[in-house]
Amino acid sequence: MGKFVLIKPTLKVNNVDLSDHASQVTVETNADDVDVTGFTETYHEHAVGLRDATMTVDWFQDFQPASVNATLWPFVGGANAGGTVEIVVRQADVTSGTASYTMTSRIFNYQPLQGGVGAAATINTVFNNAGTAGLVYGTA
Amino acid sequence: MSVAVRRSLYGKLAGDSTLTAMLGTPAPGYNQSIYYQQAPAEAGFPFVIFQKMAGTPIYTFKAGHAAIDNEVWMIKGVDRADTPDTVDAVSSRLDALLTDGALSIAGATQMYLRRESDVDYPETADGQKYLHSGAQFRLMYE
Repeated sequence: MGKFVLIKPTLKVNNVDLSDHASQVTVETNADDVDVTGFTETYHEHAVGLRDATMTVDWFQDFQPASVNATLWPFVGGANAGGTVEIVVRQADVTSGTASYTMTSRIFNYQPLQGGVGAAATINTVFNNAGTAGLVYGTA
Repeated sequence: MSVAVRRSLYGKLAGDSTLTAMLGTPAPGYNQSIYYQQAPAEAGFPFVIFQKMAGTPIYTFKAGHAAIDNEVWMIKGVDRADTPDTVDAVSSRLDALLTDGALSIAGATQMYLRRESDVDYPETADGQKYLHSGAQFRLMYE
């Protein structure tokens, strides 16, 4: 995969393809910065602490069955069951060099309706890591 | 989608007998005094002109087409008169028909249609006064 313009990644939530309702995505992983500097050292020594990961998605909200709200609601309603989020990025018309990111996640803040008169009803959700594997990077 | 939208708008306007009763004699070859982009020279007054002013597609990650088309259409009455009463009445009828009005757009589903900003100005050509009155309407469909 060379340089590319993000045009048509596939975005699945609990194996439901919602790519036709997503317009922006950010995949992020980070780690706590733990200072382990000793008394005799002249530079800070940083160690990697606990890791975390999120996927943030902008959606065009849709209340039809099997669409955005129906798919996201189990992540936040009731027992907050969570689920799997997967994004697969590939350059148009290229079958190799595909990258995928998968994560078991939960949503802790869900606003099912945002917007004003005359604007498309869009929402933003942050999928937080909820599994021991964290953000899993794959290739194909 | 412009063809389908244009036809749906024309159908909406031409299908309203209250509006068409306000308009002048159609130019030869036309059924109604409702014209796209430009009226023919033989058009009787008043008439209605409509044209697309802007179109902004909104895309999702799904390839193939825009998820939402967001367009602005200028739709106005034009009269050759000294008083704006007639053309203002046409403008009011256009608003009543189109704001939250339902269009039948082939191959698409209408999401939003409302008057967004008014268009109202005089024009003088060859010593004759022409009055324009209508609005820009925002249309969204998927």
